[in-house]
Amino acid sequence: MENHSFVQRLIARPEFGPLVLLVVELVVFWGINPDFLSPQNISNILAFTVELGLIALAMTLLMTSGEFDLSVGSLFGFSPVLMWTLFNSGVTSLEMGLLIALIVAALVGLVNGWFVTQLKIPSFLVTLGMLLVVRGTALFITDGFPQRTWSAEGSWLANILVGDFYVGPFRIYASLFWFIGAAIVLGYVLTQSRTGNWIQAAGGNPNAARARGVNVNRVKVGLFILSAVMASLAGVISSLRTSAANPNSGTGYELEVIAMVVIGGTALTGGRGTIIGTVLGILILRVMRNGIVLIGVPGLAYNIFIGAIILGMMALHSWLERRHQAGT
Amino acid sequence: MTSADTSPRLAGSATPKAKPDFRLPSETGVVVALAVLVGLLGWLHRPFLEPANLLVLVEQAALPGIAAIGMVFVLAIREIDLSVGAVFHLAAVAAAVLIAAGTDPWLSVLAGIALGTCIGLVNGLLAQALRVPVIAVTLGSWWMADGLSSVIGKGQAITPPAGDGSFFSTLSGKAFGMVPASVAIFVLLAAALQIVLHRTRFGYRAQATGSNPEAAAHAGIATATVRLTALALMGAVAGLAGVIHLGAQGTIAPADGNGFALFAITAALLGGTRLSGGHGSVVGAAIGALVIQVVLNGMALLGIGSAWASFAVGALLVAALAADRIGRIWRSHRAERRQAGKRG
Amino acid sequence: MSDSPLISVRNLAKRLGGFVALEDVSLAAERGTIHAIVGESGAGKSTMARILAGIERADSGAIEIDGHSVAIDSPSAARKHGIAVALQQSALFPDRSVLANLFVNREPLRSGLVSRREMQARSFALLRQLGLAVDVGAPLGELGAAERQLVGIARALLDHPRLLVLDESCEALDRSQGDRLFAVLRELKARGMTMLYLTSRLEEALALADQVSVIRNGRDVLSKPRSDLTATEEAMIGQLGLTLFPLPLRSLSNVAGTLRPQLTVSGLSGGRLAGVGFSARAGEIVGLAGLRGSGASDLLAMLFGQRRARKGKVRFPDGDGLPKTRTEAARRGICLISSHAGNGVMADKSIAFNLSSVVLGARDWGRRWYSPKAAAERAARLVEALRIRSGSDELAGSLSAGGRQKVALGRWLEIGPQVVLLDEPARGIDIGSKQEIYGLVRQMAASGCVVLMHSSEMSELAGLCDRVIAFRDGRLAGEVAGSEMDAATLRKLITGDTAAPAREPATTSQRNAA
Repeated sequence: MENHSFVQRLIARPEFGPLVLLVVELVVFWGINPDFLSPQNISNILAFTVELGLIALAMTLLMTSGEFDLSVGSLFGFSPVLMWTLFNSGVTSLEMGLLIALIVAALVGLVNGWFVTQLKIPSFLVTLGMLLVVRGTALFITDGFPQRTWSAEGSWLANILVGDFYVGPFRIYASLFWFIGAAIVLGYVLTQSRTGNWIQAAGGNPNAARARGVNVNRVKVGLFILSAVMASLAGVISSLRTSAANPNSGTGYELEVIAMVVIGGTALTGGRGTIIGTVLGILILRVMRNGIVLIGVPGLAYNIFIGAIILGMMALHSWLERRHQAGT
Repeated sequence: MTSADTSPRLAGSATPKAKPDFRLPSETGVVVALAVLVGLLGWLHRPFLEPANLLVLVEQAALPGIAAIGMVFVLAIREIDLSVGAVFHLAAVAAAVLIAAGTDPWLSVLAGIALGTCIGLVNGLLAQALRVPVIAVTLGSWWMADGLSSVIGKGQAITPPAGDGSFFSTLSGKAFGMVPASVAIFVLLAAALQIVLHRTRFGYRAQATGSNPEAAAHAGIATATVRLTALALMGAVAGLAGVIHLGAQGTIAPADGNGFALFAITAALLGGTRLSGGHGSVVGAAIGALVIQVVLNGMALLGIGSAWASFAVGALLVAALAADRIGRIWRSHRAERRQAGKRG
Repeated sequence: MSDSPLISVRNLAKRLGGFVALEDVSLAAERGTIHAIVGESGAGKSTMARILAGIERADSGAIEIDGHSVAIDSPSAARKHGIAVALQQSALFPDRSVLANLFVNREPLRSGLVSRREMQARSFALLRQLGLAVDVGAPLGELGAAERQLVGIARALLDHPRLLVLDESCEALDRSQGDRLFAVLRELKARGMTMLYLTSRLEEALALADQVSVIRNGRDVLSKPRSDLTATEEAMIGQLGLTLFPLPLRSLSNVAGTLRPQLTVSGLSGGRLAGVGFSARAGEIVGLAGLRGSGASDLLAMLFGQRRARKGKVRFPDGDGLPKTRTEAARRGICLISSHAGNGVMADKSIAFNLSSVVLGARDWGRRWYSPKAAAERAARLVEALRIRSGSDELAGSLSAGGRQKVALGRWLEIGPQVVLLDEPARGIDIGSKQEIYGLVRQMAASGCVVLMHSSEMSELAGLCDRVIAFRDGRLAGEVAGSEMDAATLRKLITGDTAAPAREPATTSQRNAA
């Protein structure tokens, strides 16, 4: 009896669907091409996972509070450009450049949050406008060309962020630990802290949250800043790892990140979010992108699969929710 | 104002208004913006005002403008369609592939438009069945349509053989010897849909649904049907824009249609359509599309780098939103003052 | 210091949009007492509760606590002054667990993390006292209306306030739940807590309070200690509402008896409803009495095609069964006017636009074109009939709640409805509009409509209806007509406090246990 209800509870959890999908994906890809689970390929998947993953984690909290941020992709491209430009022109050290880039990103988040909370414009559109503004600025700084980057090998900053080492046959980047750390911290924040309760209250019923003295606007502005800073950090990590800073990098990332979060089971309308689900969503999409090529399907088809997974997962969550309600 | 109503009024008697309030049409802002921008650019750069240049400008605005016209209906029902650009592209690719395979061009074009309509319908049906906002569904269908067209087109431009048939010559031709076909379609469509939105039962229902979906459903309006119709219309219009592009250019390249959704939303908002649903202006959206195109062309003419193009569209979007919001605050302020005046 | 009342409110006034919710209210509550504030819905009680909760700010007037003037400008300020408010429609979070709802923004922390165990420990005793036996980990949305109301009250109590404000706290509770709540409140009073109990039911106030105040139309009209209230005064307060109801048309019900039954419902189940059957004739107003969650609202929604019925048979005057959709209902002349569905109007559209919504929106016959001129002419006719005192080109959002409700009703007049379903049609609107809506309802009945009206205000049903059917827990609990129809009898029927002696011992034992 006890066991039965445990299984039922497990199935009813929003993370269950994504988990099954991920397992199926792994088995199918591995079955078709055993190289898929080779250490080199796994290392490869993990390296890319982290950078989009950091953004997706912050986006989960933001979407739980009922808002979107579409400007993350452009910040991903803009921040490293800014950092390298400052460094190359000899104005600042690399560390100082990073700090300035993060502060600028935080300001972008602040502006997003201000427009959304004070002017009450839907975040979807505010951040869409911000996406273009930031991307335009990045292109202007660089005249549209990739920035010359200095090989960051040996800098302590690079070591902390993207230093790599081997664990057995696996090549691991330090950024993986940043990602795991961020996932644990944000997971705890969302489910176990008072801030997390504020976030869920703000997304679930903003007026009720205000009536209980929750400062909904401050929570939202804070999350916009968090998402901007995380996007900027992810961009810097990516540029350090690849020793490149391209003003166009990160194009379209916003939709991929939102797809990851949605696939994981976070409600698009706010109020309900799960970090574990997001981590699964991140893995599902990265594994899909990687595996599809390995099993010989043209990479162009990737978008079709993403779209299908998004729609399928939305259908699953809506079905689960309705069954849940019907059961009462 | 305050002294107007001192005489006692009979309850229930329809009081004739002493002075009807003069209300500016919602398109005023965008018309003024267009006039100022054109005037400014003409003053800074005389050749801008040459008819040939202006015609080119309108032609460039026509296709995203058509998408914006459709978006007005979607915004009027308080939804947002993200898939516009991908549908535009997919319809053009599908038509191009069919033509290349030897199908009659006009038939292929109809198939392209029908495909767009179907995607719109599917978007609507999914949103209805899953009870999620259209924006969420179109996030998924955007990915799918985008993927499909790049798989069909193998990631390259498709140029179907022009061959015989009147399709390409008609659409790349000019009406009355000077107006490009796409512009003629754009203008006619804007006029027709303006009437549909403001003078037909469907338009009425769309506005009612967007203004307060629950109240509309409660008054017996079949809101599900209204939503489906509006989204199908959006799909059809996006498909139409796609095949016009194919006909006029003779080719469809991978990047065509990128950013259409954003362009369309911005143009509609500039033209006085409200994000909060219930209010739309098709003519305003068409003029809004012209405003965006004037800004883009003007920047190119004045030698401002194209890097700033996306910056400008983004800034315009945010400005339009802020203006919409501030306008609303002002309106409610005025309504409150009027109320206070009535009592006093 | 202790001479001054815990809280006193002077000349409080508040305007909501174009509507005066509170005009001039002064009150004072002594320490350790329960002060009941009695008034009909729309009298301004809820507005006062929201002001004390810091959700809204008064336009003018002063609030003093311990004799010092204070500004309650935010929910946290209210909390700082020791005020906790259980609102009528408690602002809750249906997706989140009961526990999370109880402790929103007051989560106990253990080493920085929210402690679920601590939350359980703190709320356990209180929940048991209130008789709230639910899984505290389950989402709140799964609970019934009564349990949700108790969660809202428990949440306010968990703040351990000095002043507890309760707004219509018994509204969804049945008799035994209400008794338990009263026992808890009395015990808290004995421990020194001060309470403001806002209610529309005089009998609740008389049973619980030390001091009774009456407010009407946003003004306080009477305030006396319970013990000083004379029988005539009690009767007077109880009668206040009755003057509202239009009487002249009432004789019509006698004629109606000779007409054939028009709307028959048999064995209808679905939602909370289980096997309900009755019939209603054209020309009479049939009241549906029931607490929130008793199924009366569900019944109306089913008849309107808004909810699905599980089983049962319904025959409408036109000979057909239940409509499948609201659109079908509207086309067949079945209309529902409800206070639940948002505000019922499109606030950012003109009154004329709103008044066309059934004619143009629901019907598929007639002209396919929308003509603003025709809409304006239609509106001119209706505005007159509805006594709406604004031009038809003004926005519906500029109307008061009462005006909006009149528009929501008026849009149906044009199609000449056959069956008129009313779900709390006069809830939360000003007295003048109430009176006009009652008049319209009477007129519609007189013109040959079948009228069903649900209300949770018994005096409203007793005053307006020809007969009343009572609902309890989704079943019929009795039918009253003619001279036996008064608020007290109806209340007994719907709360299960029947004369049946079997229930009595159970209630007393619970009272003793609490």
